[in-house]
Amino acid sequence: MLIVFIRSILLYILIIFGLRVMGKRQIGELQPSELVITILISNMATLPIEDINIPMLMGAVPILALVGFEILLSNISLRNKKFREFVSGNPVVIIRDGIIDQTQMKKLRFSIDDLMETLRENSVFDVRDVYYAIVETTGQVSILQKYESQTVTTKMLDLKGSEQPIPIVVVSDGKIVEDSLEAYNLGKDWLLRTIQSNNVHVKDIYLMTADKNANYFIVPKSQK
Amino acid sequence: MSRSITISIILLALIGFSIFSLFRLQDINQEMTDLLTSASLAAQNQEFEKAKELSKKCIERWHEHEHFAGIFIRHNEIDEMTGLVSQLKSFIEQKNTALFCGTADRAITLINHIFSSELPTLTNIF
Repeated sequence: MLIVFIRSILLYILIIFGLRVMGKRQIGELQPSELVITILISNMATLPIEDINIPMLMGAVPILALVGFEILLSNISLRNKKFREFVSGNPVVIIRDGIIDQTQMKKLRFSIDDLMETLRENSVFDVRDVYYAIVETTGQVSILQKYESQTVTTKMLDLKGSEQPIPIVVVSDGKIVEDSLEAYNLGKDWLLRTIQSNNVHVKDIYLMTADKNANYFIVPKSQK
Repeated sequence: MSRSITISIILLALIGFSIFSLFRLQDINQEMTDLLTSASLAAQNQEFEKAKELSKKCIERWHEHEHFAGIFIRHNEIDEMTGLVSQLKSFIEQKNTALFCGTADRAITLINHIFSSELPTLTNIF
């Protein structure tokens, strides 16, 4: 039993390492080859956990081999367009200039129900509002609405404004995040002065964010 | 780029270790086959002391090899081989030539099978 436990932990660490090395993508954004690898890795990891007669290497070696192969393929895909098309395919336009391309829909085996569901998932409830709809290689659908249906932007209203800097976390669960302070040239002195002026201690802060203009926001820890 | 280099190194290390383990297994197979064959022949020639010494050496050498073999061979096959070689000593002490030779032959077949199963042939791959 202890062997199963230790193997589970070790293979979990190995899978995390493998997925980190492959790079960050959500399940819904995986390319076909990446999806295959992910499914294979998860199945392979269970073999030495379920059967202790199987050496650990029988799980670890295929996982590492597949991760390595996937990274090599990704690098080739990056440099070679034809190879990329062969492995991942091409995005397909299913609505062009507001007109549904029924031929492409048939080729993709994309039913009307699939189309309407995808539109609704993108907060589009009237197909007449769609200017372009493109099925990406991951299977997701990207939608460009017609101008009159698009959400109003400041550009459309010809409004002037300035870019707002992004606040970043400078205190997390009572601990100062030094890298964040450095990124925005906010010194530790400023931080301590600011915290003191709010009558709190660092260790009592749950979350503190700040932007490069020294605007800050503090969430104290809740009292137990 | 560093990720590619890291993964290339890992892949090369895996291939290198696989090839190394294959050669090591070949050596183990050869050594065990030679010892078991010699022991079996000695038993058939009624040289029981010699057969006893050889079977003792066989058991010792197998115990040394099984730790390495267990890293990449299914454990039940390793256990079966361990069981077979362990029986040799008692059979030769009882001067039971038939059982001794039969067990030695089984052990030889098994170690040969373990080795041949690891070879990257078309039969094994498919």
